[in-house]
Amino acid sequence: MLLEVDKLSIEFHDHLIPERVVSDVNFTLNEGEILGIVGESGSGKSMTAHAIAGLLSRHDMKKTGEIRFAGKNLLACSRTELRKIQGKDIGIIFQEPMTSLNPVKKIGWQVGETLRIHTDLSKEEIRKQVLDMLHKVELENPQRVYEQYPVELSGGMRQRVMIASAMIGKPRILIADEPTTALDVTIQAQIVKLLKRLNQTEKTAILFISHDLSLVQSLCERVIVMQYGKVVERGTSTEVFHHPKEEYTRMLVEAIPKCEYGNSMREKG
Amino acid sequence: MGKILTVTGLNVYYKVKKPGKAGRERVHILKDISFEMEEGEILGLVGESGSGKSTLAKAILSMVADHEGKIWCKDTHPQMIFQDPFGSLNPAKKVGWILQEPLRNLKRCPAGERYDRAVEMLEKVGLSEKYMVHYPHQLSGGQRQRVCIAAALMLHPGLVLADEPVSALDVTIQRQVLELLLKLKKEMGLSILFISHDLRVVYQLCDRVMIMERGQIVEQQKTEEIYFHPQHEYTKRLLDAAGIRSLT
Amino acid sequence: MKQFRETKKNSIDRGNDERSVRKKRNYTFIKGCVITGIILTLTLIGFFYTPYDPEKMDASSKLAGISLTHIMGCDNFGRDIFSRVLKGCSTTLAVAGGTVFIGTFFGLLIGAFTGYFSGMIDEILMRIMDALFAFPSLLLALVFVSLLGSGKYQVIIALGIAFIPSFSRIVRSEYMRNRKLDYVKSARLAGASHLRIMFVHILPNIRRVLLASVMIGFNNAVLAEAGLTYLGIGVQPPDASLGEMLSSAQTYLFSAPWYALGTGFTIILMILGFSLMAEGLQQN
Repeated sequence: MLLEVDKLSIEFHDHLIPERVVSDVNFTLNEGEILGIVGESGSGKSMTAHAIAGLLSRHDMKKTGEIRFAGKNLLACSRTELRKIQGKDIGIIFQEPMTSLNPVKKIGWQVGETLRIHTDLSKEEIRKQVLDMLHKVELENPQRVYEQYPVELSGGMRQRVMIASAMIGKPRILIADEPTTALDVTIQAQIVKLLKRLNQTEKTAILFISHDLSLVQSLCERVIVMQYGKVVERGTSTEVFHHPKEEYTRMLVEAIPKCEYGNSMREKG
Repeated sequence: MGKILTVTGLNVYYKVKKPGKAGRERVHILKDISFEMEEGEILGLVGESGSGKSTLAKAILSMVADHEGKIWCKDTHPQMIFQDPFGSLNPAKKVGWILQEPLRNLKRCPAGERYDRAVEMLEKVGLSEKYMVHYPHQLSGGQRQRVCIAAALMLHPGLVLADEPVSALDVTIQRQVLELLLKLKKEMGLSILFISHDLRVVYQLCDRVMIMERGQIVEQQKTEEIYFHPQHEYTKRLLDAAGIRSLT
Repeated sequence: MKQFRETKKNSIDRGNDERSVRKKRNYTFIKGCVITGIILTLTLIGFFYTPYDPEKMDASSKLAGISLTHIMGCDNFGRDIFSRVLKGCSTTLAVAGGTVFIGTFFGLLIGAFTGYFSGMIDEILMRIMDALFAFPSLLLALVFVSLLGSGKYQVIIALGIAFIPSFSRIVRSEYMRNRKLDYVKSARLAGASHLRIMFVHILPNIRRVLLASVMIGFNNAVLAEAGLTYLGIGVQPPDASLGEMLSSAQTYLFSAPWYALGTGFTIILMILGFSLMAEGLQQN
């Protein structure tokens, strides 16, 4: 077992009434597995992911429970220890590839940043690895991309760069927080394929967070459904999507628009 | 049924500043667009980002400067529903104020009547009178989009352009908003140009669909035809990517 | 509040914005208001009552120290400093207020038009503003004072003009940001005219930035007035202004430190009050 989330709760204390955004969430992620977290906005799915990546360190926030990564409780770790794990063992990609890349730095520099921080490889070595990684995320002409700035790339290319910079430290977990939401359908499909391939070749476990059920269904083996900060249903993706047990999951599945001949809202309404 | 919108030979250009070059370059955004829209029809416009679908909407609303070709619209004040319900409502104004604004500007009706008509419209989109005094940030995404729809319908337009109206919403709420649009279409006899990148949503709603790629309409057909007998390569690729063709 | 949250939970169409509805108490703003309130009260008292005639000289109490009869002491002419501070507050506030008013009014107009329309007019006006902005506002005011002559109203006009560029910059950038937002487009579709969009639709949205910059401008104006008077070209004696008093206090900094202390403290309080209010507004 690679990652174990045990009774994780997150509370905000910046207001008069403390607000619980995640409560008693339990799940495990095995080595090399793809786990999907599904939920609508406000369900706490992103909060959970950010907590695992160690991105929630606000003073007005209270986290209880345990997040065990390779046997180590991340919530009880010291800052230096946590910094070693972040980026190195846990990589994260975000929804908006526009803002998650620094607009004034070249792509090559940004992708290599993790290596510069966590390893003491030579410049040449880093350059070689970065180019290799850019090649792995299937960018055409890595040499050229290496010298480009984020504005010169399309949304899909930027998301590939983001994946490259998250994967370059050879993390054992990749957290993908709505990685395809801002992209076009054709690009979405490519990114999902890429994630699947990386999962197979690099043996990286992926925590895939999305509100798009059809994407999750096509990518993930196991799925967790969240609502109002709680896990409402869990199981393999066939179980959850084809035989949902909970009312909420059924509602979610039914809300996906279908394309069946002679069956559409306009004809019924 | 007559036509509500006829576009013939429309070309739109933008002046774009290229980095590293002095002056501006004229870029051809829409290339020779022609189509017609029947009254009471929901026409889908599908394309990926950068295909020019939003520009087409802007052109119909006469919001682009540099264009050639003819746009004829039966309705004098076609309205638009925007993608982002967070940005399209003035954050400093209350819902009631926003709803009354079109009446204030374009129709000279007394304050009392304005208020009544705003409440009536608000109820039509499924919200109660108490929301008149709410600010946009106090509403949820779905509620905001309902207010946007109400604001667009205040003048009883014949033509409504909806630019990705449900893309920013959760699936369950998407469905509610789509149902609302269908209901309003029937009640008020609206014609809707529904712009979206989501093929599944378009299938649910639209009578006819146009597929757009790089400023050109590559295919326009009845919905079932497009989805089950696509002709153009690009249409096929879109359907594949959305996982629709493999299902059928 | 609790009720509101429950109704939200019950409906299917649940918002994710519950957090934004509740507001934190803004103590900074309250502190600023209290301090500014004290200053305003003192100014108001100064209009109707001062313990002594602020212009009456008294050779016997020349440079008298702090005592029960003169709570801030006396200046080199034997005038009661506290009475002069009460009077001086109103002069300083009038100069600062007038300056900010001129600066904001014209800055708003220029900034709104250039930011909203952009294009040629924007380019020309903004280059002029840039040229004006290149000078420190105090230096610019000096030039205007030398053209207009010295005195309270001339100082207001001179400083006011000098303050226009910075206001118009701030307003312009806000208008440029706002005019691209969808709500402006939907206002156009609702038939609103450009003027209506600029001043009815967009203006309320930039009020926070505007108020904060007005507050900061006010502080700068108080300091600039003191500076000008210090140089001898601001408010002319016997009109009392805090700046004029501070500049004369300088001569007696060692022999009569209470002179500088009383006036300086008042200026500090005035600026602190407005700064805190400005900061509080930005936090909101």
